[in-house]
Amino acid sequence: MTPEELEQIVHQRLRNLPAPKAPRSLAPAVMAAVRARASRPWYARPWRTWPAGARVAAAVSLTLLAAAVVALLPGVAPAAVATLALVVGPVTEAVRVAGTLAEAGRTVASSFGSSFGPVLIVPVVIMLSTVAAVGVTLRRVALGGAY
Amino acid sequence: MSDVDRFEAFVLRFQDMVFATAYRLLGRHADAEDVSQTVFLRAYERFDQIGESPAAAGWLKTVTTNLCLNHLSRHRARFRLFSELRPADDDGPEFEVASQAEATPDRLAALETNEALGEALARLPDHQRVPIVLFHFEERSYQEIAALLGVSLGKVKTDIHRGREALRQSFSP
Repeated sequence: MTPEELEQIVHQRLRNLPAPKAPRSLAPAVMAAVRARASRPWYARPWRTWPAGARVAAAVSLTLLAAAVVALLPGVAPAAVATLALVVGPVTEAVRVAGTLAEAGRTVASSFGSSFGPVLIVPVVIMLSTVAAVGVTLRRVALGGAY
Repeated sequence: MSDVDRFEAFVLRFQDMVFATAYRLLGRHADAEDVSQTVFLRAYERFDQIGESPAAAGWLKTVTTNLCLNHLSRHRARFRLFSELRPADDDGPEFEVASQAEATPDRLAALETNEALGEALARLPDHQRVPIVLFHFEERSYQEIAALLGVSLGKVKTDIHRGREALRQSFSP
């Protein structure tokens, strides 16, 4: 018997097996656990099942608590600011680059005038994007972001 | 009809499918029942999303399969599941039923029945039964099974072939 024939025969035999039936105890056990969960007060259930108002209040309370910890404990505020700077720094840099590119685009468009502008805008954008990408890559790879 | 009542109808509708999937993968009645309970408790937490969804059966099958694999992984040391450490030609006893089965004519006759094949499947070593079930019942490809179990494609094919050879003994005269 070839492996392919064996596969077919085993497949047929297995698929002809009657599916095992769930034991009678399964559904009652599940429903007992579900009813026990359902009878718990809302605050003892998972957070995402809380009423919407309670979820908002909890989120606001946690935010205020975090702010209070940062404000009241010495040493926490500088660490929080440093962490925030790590997150915000790249975003600020990206916004600055995008602003520069937009300014450059406006300058190019105004120098070419309205007749050529619509035709040239696509290649100009591609070129600017390429130059920006090469610049960023050079800064990171070749210069190690040193300047 | 309350949510709990609707969920009870949901459980009654899908309990056989969930239990069958778990039992085939685990080969143990009590473990399959435990996993099935966990599956339905997870379903209850998301019942607002899956209760009326046509994808509920697929969601249940996926969760059942994942929980069964987690369950088997936790018992890896005990059952030596999917062990790559053992030599490929040293998988131990391939088929406990077959090895014990040749004793009596009654037993041979019983092996020809579906019950015997089901029993044989349940008694396969985990590393053979699980890929066989995933392939033949859950219709997963060899590649999918290898990825799901985190083993090589070659091992999946070898284990499935050996498992089929072992199962063949349960229905061959």
